[in-house]
Amino acid sequence: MERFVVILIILILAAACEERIEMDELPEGREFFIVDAMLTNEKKPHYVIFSRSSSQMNQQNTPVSGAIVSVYSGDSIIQFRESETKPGYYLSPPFIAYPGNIYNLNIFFEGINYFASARSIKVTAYEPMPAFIIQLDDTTYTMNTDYSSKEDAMWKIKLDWSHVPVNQPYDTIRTATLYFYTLHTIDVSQVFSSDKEPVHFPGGTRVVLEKHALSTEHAAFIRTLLSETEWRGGLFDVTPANIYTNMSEGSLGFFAVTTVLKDSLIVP
Amino acid sequence: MKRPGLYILVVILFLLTDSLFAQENLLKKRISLNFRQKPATEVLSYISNEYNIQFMYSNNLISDSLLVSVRAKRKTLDIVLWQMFRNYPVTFSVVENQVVLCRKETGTNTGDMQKKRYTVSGFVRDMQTGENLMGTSVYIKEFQAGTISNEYGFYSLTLPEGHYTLVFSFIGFSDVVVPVELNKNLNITTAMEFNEQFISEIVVEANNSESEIEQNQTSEARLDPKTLQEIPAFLGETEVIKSLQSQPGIKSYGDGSTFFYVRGGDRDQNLILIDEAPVYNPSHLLGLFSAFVPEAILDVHLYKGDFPARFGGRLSSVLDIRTREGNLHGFDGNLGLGLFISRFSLNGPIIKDKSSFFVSFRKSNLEYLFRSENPDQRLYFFDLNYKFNIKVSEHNRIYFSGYNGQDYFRKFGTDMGTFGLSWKNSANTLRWNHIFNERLFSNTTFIASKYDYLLIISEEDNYYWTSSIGNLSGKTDFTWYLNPDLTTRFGLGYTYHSFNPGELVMAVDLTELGYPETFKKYTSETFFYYENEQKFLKKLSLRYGFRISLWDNLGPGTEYILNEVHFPTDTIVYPKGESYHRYFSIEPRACLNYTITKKASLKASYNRTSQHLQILSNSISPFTSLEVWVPSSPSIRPQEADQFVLGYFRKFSKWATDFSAEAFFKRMTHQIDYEDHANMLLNPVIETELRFGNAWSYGLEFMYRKEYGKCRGWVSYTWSRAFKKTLEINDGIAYPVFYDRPHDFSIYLSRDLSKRWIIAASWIYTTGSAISIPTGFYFYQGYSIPIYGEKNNGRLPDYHRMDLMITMDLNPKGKKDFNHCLILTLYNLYGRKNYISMNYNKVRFDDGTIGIPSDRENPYEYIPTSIYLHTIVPSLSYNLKF
Repeated sequence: MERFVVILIILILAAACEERIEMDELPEGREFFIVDAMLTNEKKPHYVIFSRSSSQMNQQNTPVSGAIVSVYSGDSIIQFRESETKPGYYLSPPFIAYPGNIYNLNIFFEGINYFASARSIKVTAYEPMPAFIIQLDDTTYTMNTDYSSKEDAMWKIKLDWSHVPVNQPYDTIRTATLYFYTLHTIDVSQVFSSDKEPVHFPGGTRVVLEKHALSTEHAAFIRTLLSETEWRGGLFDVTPANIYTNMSEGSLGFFAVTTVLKDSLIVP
Repeated sequence: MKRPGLYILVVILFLLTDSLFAQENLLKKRISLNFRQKPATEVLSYISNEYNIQFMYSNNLISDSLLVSVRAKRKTLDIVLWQMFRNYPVTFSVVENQVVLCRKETGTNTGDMQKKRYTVSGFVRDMQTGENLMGTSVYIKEFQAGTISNEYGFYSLTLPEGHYTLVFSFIGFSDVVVPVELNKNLNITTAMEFNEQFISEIVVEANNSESEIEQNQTSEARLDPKTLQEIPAFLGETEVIKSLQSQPGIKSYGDGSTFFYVRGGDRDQNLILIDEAPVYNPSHLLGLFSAFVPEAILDVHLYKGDFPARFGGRLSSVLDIRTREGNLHGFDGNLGLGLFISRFSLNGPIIKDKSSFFVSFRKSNLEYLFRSENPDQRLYFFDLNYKFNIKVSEHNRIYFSGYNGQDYFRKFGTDMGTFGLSWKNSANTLRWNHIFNERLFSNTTFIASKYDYLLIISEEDNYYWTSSIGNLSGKTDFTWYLNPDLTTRFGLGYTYHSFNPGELVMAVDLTELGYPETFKKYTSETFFYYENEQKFLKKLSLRYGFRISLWDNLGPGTEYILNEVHFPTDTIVYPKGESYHRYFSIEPRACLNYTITKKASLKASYNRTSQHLQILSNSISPFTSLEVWVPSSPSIRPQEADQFVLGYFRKFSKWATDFSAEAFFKRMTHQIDYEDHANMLLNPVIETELRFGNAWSYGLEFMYRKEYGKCRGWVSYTWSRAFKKTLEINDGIAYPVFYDRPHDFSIYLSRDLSKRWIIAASWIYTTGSAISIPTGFYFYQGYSIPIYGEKNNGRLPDYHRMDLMITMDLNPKGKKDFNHCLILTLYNLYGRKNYISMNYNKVRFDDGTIGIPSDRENPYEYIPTSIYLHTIVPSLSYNLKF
């Protein structure tokens, strides 16, 4: 009887149910150019992805080829070349984006120059890697979701257990990329956000952890991105709105410059 | 439940059918009798006993002194009645299977106004409990005019010397007729007797001059406790605030919420008062329940506009809740047991006929029900209402009342330690009624209110987020009854506010961790109001007045100077006590009433209001959340509204029903809007997130109501629109606000099936809320991001819901010293899924659950989803009244 009562209470009071709905045709809207670009303080080829938005859910961005893409900082200009195998994917020669320097992105396409400017801040050290990994049982691990940082930060975790022979539910995927964020703001939708899908992995997984220090503008962008993605759909939603962008001419996306601290280990 | 309409039709027909067929034509019933010069009451009593025909009449119309002669053999009742009353101003009709005798309209006798004038004044009280009766009509038969007792039951009438008949009328009570020889000032305190037959049967007070027809008031809704308790409610728990949604012009958020929106105004534009003290968050369990204990409530008034000048501080509505004073003669109480909530109330004399108390307590049972299954968490809420009063002398009475409520949730052993949530409302009032003389009444009030919000992020780490708003107020109100045609009200007051607009508390230095520091704010408000209620000619009356307020921002305070792009360019720190910014506002108000006939009137009103407090929240959730109150300041100008109302009111004696129609237009300035994804918490420069624009709303409201009789209820329909226009939002284009719901229909019916059974049902329909629907999507680093076009370009599905309540009286004959009943409630009878949001960011996992994906490397198929709160919710509760 008591169990029944508890179930009844849960059904009534906490029974906010979510279900799939049939979606009417979306209201008509214009198409936008999308920029996804990130420079870091690693000496490597950096990328700029230039694409068009879609009018449908689940439809990938349409790559935009033929744009002239460059980044300049001070006196130096770096030209990006479009990948021959990935249309709309523009790559630079290897270079370092130094903290404190201002970098300007120019994408010239069909007579319009899409422009953004950004600079990175220094990244501070974090705890040794093992602190981020939680062992669930003898063979299963998951990542800690509780991060702290003096500066706003993005934590990118690449997991790879493709080389590990396993026979577990998580075997359907063999690699994963997770993002966590440390932001010095509090949002209601964040506090009461829906739970994220847990990602479990076996011992032997190769874990690469990157901490990216976020500039104020970049943190603002991430906050709005999360508001429209990971934090939306809970019981404390905020007014929906387009997410922040630092791109000009009505294009969307973000041009980011970060400093990054990277570490890796193999889960024992 | 694919055919909700069928369910609705069946229930409505069930409730109406019996009532309609019951109207057999009694007047054609044949009777025989023979009386000569006998009291009419005796003749009616004979007919009633011999032929089982029920008569209803006012005893000031047909008294024992009215003698009639009638002789009939198998004549129809209408002929017999005509013979009886052919020489008297009496007419008759059949209502609800009873013959109702009313006064015929005749000419008036105004009396000699040049004679010396005297005042008759006093209190009107409940004979059974000794409590004051507010809103009692005190009517002078000879003048066909009168007044209404005020919030403390006091009335005063100044008349020329002469002989008068005072008639005291209050719904649910037997009339009291007092002959008065007015040759000096008189104090007449009247006790009225509650008449149980009255509620379920019908009394037509054709002579009640101070009915809604002649009142100088538009845009008012009133709910008495009995009606409140008969409206089906969530889990059978009587809801003051949610019950209001069936009134025209009031939009409720919907399931699980106490938010309501009045005539296009935002939810923070509603002033909620309990015994004059403001309550800032009237909800429990985030909004599943309203905060007030039903047994404590004496009267509920909602002003949707046309605020009397004594009310101010909000743009859209005033919800004025008065609580019971306590029985001066004896003890009585109430016990309510439900699955989720239990409550108890007790009241009685402290010193018989001089001082009394009322105490009620309500607490959720959730903690006990959850404890064994969830030992790692605590969850409860409670309400405590109390009131004490003492008659110090004939001219002085003191009241102390309070409301305290709290919600508390704590969960141990989360990832971050102990997590919790708590909010507390406290509203206390000390009042002193003083009668200076027969015509001048005063009430002096001291108020202390506070609302605290606490989010325990980690109890072990001493990590909290907290906000609060509090006020200390003092005010004096005067009512001066100059003559029956002129009453003046005036008053003045002062309020001191303190605000904590959200503060993070940690054991370590926050600024070291990169969190900004927020600052508390302090303000004061001084106000004065003056209002006349005056009758002109025979059919015109006017209420006119104004309210002046002076708003000061006080130090210590920190203010930011913003440039034209809302960027702070300077910071100014003000020392303690300094008044560093001031707003002055004057609010004219007027209401004109034209009585077309005794059954119909036309009303028009204009109202200006201003508001200096606001909730800053860009939430679209039905639940109360971590929202903060902030005052007007150098960068937040006071909100202002002008509202125009035109109304038509009509009473139908035959059915004891009334009809009202109102048209309104409201224009609001300095309305707060928000930058996209505004950062509302822990933001020391929160003003940078605000944008200011104008809003307007207009609409038509209709209501047809039958308050008394075996079948009671109302039907209401509202058509209205509400828009906002802010230069920097939505490209400066006007957009419908979230609570713009053009069509709003509700029906509520209650039927006494017998002395044991009562059935009540309600059905509500509103257009879905305006929301923003994406016009496209794009992917960014694995995230699927929506693109929005025009703001609020779509709508949630329409909201509708039917509730049913069946009450079984366990002691229908009422022979014992107590009454008790069982109440079965079926909330959302046909299980409508009313969506509160639409989302485009979820995926369905392999186990069938819906959630947020974590992995940004592997592709997912995103699906559109919606959240709803309740389907059918049954409940059973037990009430004992002793």
